[in-house]
Amino acid sequence: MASPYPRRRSRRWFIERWAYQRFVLRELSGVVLAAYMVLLLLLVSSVHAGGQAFADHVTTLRSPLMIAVHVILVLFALLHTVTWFQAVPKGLPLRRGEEKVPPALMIGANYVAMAGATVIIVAALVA
Amino acid sequence: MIVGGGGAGLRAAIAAVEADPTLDVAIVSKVYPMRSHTVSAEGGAAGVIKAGDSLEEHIRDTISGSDWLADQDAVELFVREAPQELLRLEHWGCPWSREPDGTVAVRPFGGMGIERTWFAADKTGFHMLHTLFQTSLQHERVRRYDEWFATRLLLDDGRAVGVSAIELRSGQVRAVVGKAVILATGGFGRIFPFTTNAAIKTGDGLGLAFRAGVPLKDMEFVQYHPTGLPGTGILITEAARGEGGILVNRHGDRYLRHYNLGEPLDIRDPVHPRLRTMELGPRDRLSQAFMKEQDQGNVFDGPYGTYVHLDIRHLGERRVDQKIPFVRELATNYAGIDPVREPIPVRPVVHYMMGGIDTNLEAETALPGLYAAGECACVSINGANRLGSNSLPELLVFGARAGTGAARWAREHAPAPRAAVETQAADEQARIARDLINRRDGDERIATLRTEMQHAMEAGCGIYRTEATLQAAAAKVAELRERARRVQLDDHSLSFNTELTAALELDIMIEIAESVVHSALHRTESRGSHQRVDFPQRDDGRFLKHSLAYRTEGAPRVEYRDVAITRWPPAERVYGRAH
Amino acid sequence: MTSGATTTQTIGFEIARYLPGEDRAPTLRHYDVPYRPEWVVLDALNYLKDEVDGTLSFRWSCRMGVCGSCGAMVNGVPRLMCAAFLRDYLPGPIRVEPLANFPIERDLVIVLDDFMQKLRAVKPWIIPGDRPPPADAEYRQTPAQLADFKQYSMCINCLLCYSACPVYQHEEEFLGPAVLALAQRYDHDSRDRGNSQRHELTWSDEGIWDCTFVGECSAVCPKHVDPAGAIQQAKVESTMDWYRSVLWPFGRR
Repeated sequence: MASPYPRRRSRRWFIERWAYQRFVLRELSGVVLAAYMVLLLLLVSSVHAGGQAFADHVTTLRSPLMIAVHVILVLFALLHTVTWFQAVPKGLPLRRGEEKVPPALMIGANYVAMAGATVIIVAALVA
Repeated sequence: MIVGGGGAGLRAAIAAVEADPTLDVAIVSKVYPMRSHTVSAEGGAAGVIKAGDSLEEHIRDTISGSDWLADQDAVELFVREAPQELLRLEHWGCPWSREPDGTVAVRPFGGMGIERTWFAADKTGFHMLHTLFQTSLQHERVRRYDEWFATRLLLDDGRAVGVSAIELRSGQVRAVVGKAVILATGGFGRIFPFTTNAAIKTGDGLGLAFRAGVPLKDMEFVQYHPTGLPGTGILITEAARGEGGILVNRHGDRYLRHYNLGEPLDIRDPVHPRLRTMELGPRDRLSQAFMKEQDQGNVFDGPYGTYVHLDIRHLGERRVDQKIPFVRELATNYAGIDPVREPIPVRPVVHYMMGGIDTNLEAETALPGLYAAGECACVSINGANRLGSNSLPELLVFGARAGTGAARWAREHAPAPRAAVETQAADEQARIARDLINRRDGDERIATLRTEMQHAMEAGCGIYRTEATLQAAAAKVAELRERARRVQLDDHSLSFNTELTAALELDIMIEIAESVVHSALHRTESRGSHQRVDFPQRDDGRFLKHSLAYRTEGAPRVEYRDVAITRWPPAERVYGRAH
Repeated sequence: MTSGATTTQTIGFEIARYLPGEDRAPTLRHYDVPYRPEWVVLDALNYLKDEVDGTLSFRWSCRMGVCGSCGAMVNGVPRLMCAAFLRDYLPGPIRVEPLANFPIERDLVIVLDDFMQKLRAVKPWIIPGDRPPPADAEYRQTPAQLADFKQYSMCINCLLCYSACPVYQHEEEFLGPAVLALAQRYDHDSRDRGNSQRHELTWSDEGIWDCTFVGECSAVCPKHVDPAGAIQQAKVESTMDWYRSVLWPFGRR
């Protein structure tokens, strides 16, 4: 008896559908944020070194390249945040009796918390 | 071994291994079990469980629903065992809908005097089937042969010892042997053109039994469900009416009130819907009312034929989404309307076959070692018309009985000699190869014959029949039986050849259709779902009997057997007022 | 079925054909089908099988989206053929291929042995454990308790989620969305005490931890079972359970 045609695996599966591309970008955002840790450490070390080292570092940060890098970082951070918040109701399907707590409510609560945290941090930095 | 992996077949398998843990049980099914047509049942399963209900009431409702053709000893047994079976299913995990206190909930249903229909939202059959299938997986001695198409019963020394079946994957015909055989293959709605039934409902088990000399009982009783979607025939469950849905004709009239089904209550009346009246009358009467309305021109006309409106708008979105969400989904997808905002177009559609393989209360057939249960069998508990929500418990009660009975038989009998069995299977393989796979000189297409058969059945053997229409149908079906010998397949391969199975199914359907027509011809009275315009009265004197159709070289031979009457002498069937 | 509009408009189909033993690989063949606005892809295939080419093989049964037989890739997306309306694919052509990530038996018929074996492996039945059923009555289960697992019980085993899952494509051992959702259905059923028996398999690397939450399974699910949600929920439960066992190693649950 002839055997069935074997299932196909595609190395370029993530290109095939927009949903998969979105997924890869999301996963990448985690990597990007981890890479940002390196930049953050460089900043901390330059602050620690003080004086000229710090001034040089600030100059580097002002360069068009660094600004572009940071813009990309912010976009990925936003992507990371948005997708993370969307995942919260998936992992924690809360219910009150028979009724499901609307996912939008849970996601919204996260944004409110984020806004609050942002306000506090910015205020601390500015003050 | 069991042919058929739906509700009855799976229940039988579980019953058999529980009765005898040393037994090996085989399930041979032409589809994976979760595809069986049990899956599409929607409304519910009736069982006496609530205070204020009684076995007597359920029995009486069922007997009068059957227009007194049901065997009363069978009905008594069925009603008594149904609640235990439904409870057993609950223990196995069936997600029955609940009351706030955690007990099982019940809803009103057509023809039932008291609310007793258990339900799992409006996908009761789906949940029951998946519960049974998943429960069966824990029994290692239940071995499944998925996508094996049974073609013939194997006989030895006058008893059933297995089936020859095509393994669809390879196209090879093999003998699957068992010391007892249970047929649980479902009904045969596909002999009609417009049916709620899935593609697989082609009466295979009836064909197997019929060809082995077992009679088919009460074949003339074909149930038209009153509310199917025009065009597709997709079922809109009776539960929509149980929740309070109303049927309205072209003039906005709740027309059922003209057909001896009681007085309509206002939809805002807390008592509405009143049981056993109006929209909760029995299915045969509702479908017949539609036909009469059609004759008077009171129905809508559309691209798929005539229809009336099923209006559930007054139930409100919340109740619809909670109690009958599948109705909303089906109407939206397949009728293009949201039933919360617009009425649903519906018309009567072939749905269930009261008739089937003749069995007794133990699910035994006339052939030793052969059992049958479910829609393919006729015990009979449904008589001339089945009440909604009686079919699902029937699968459980008689599936279980078939399982335990077959287990006992298997214990008491030796297996058949290999040689005899294998010869029969080899003969089947040769026949199929010669007549179907390898044939090049046929001149008939399967689809053509099938369509002609379906139209002949609808025209000649529909809701209202006459001698003339039935004779025309009989002649046509006989002609088709001849022409079917010259079927030509396009597909000559062995690998998953679904054209071959379609041809085998067609053969069976034509034979079954013939027994339906001839049983209808011989019954010169009107009873339940069998309505003869030329004999409009019920005639208990001559016809308080079951018809039994036997296979012959020509037209089926029809004999009769008395209905078993115990405590409910035949009376008038009354709906809409006190009975 | 009575005829609808009488238009001679047709719509093209590209359908994957494969006959084992004869063909080395599936190839697309072109067919033209009369266009009817109320038809679904399944109607078109039945028309072809009846009138044009009887060798076309595909699974179908209920044609109302509850049996799960008729899954296929329609224009590259896993769909139930009985729910894919021709009018949504105009002007065509419509490409119909067997469900991805499964071996192909013949034409549009795939081999689902792997799924069936994994389905059984997670013990999808009530394990009463130390809470046997009441003798002559039902388990009490409130509507809220029913709601806890009801959504995950709606799976029709159509396998569209497996076709959408890139992990299943690349990891042979992955149990897959439907199986994990079904395990979750039983874990959350108040009548069941079999959680620990299932977790050995479901909380392993072949189970929930292979899932990277691509989420396409839930996107294609025709019954809104949300298997992705079931799996993420299980991940949270598994993690909490781990913390509990680490912080409080005494006693067993």
